[in-house]
Amino acid sequence: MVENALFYLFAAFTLVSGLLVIINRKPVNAAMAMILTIVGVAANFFLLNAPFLATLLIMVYAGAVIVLFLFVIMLMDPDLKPLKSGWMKTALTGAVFFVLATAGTVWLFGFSEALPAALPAETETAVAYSADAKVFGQILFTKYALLVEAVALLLLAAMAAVFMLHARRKTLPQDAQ
Amino acid sequence: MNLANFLILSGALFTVGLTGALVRRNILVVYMSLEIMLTAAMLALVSFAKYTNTMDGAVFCFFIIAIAAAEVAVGLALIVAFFRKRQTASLDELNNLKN
Repeated sequence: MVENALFYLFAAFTLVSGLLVIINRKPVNAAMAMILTIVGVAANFFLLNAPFLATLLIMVYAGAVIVLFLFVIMLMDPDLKPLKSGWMKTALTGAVFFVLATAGTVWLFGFSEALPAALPAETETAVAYSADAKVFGQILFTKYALLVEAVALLLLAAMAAVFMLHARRKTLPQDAQ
Repeated sequence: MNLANFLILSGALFTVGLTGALVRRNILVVYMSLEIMLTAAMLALVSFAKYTNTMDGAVFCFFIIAIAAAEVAVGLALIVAFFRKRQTASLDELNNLKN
C-alpha cells in the first residue's frame, strides 16, 4: 500500500536527519539537519491527516525557530575546538544508550501488548478528529479559549523577559568587572 | 500503518533527542536536541488524537508549538547572555553561578 511505503520513507528520513543533528560537529550543519527533521515530522502529520498542524509546524519551526538558531549561531560564531581525548568513550556511551533505548521503545509499542488493540471510546461527547482548520478554530475558541489567553500572556511574558535580559545592558560585563 | 508504528517512530525520535542532550557538549546542539524531543512528543499526541478520533490531542499540539516558540526565544536570549560573559558555547565551561 502506498501509504505504508510513504510512512516508512518519511520515518527513515526523520530518524536519519535527527541522527545527523546530534552527530554533526558544526552547529550550522546541525541546524540544517534540524530543518530536515522538522520537514519529516510535518510529512508524518500529513499522513495522520493533520495538514493544518503540518503547515504550522513548518512555518513556526523551520521558518522561525531554526532561523533564530541560525542567527544565534552566526552571532556567537563559536570556534570549533579540537576534540578532547575522551570523545570516543562519550560517543560509544551515547550509541549504546541510543540502541538500548530504541530497542526498549520498539519492544514496548511493538511487541509487549502494552498498547491495547482497540482504544477506549470517549465517554463524553468530544469533537471528532478532522483535518479541517475550521474545526480546529472552533474548539480553540470555545473549549480552550482560556488556554489561548494564557498562551498569549505567556508570549508577552517571554517577550518582556528577553527585553529585560538584553536591553538594559549598558556595558559588557567583562568591562564592568 | 497503525498507532504502534507512529508511537515507535515518536519514541525513536525522542531517544535521538535524549541521546543528543546527554552526549553533546555544545550548548546550541543540546538545545536543538530538546526541540527534537518536543516534536517527538507532538507526533505522539497527534497520532493518539487521530486514532482515538478526538480533536484534543491536535489542539494540545498547537499549544506546544506556541510554547516552544516562546521557550526558544527566552532560551536563546539566555544562551547569548552566557556567551557574552564567557565567550564560549561549551557546556563544560558553565560551571559556576557567581559572576
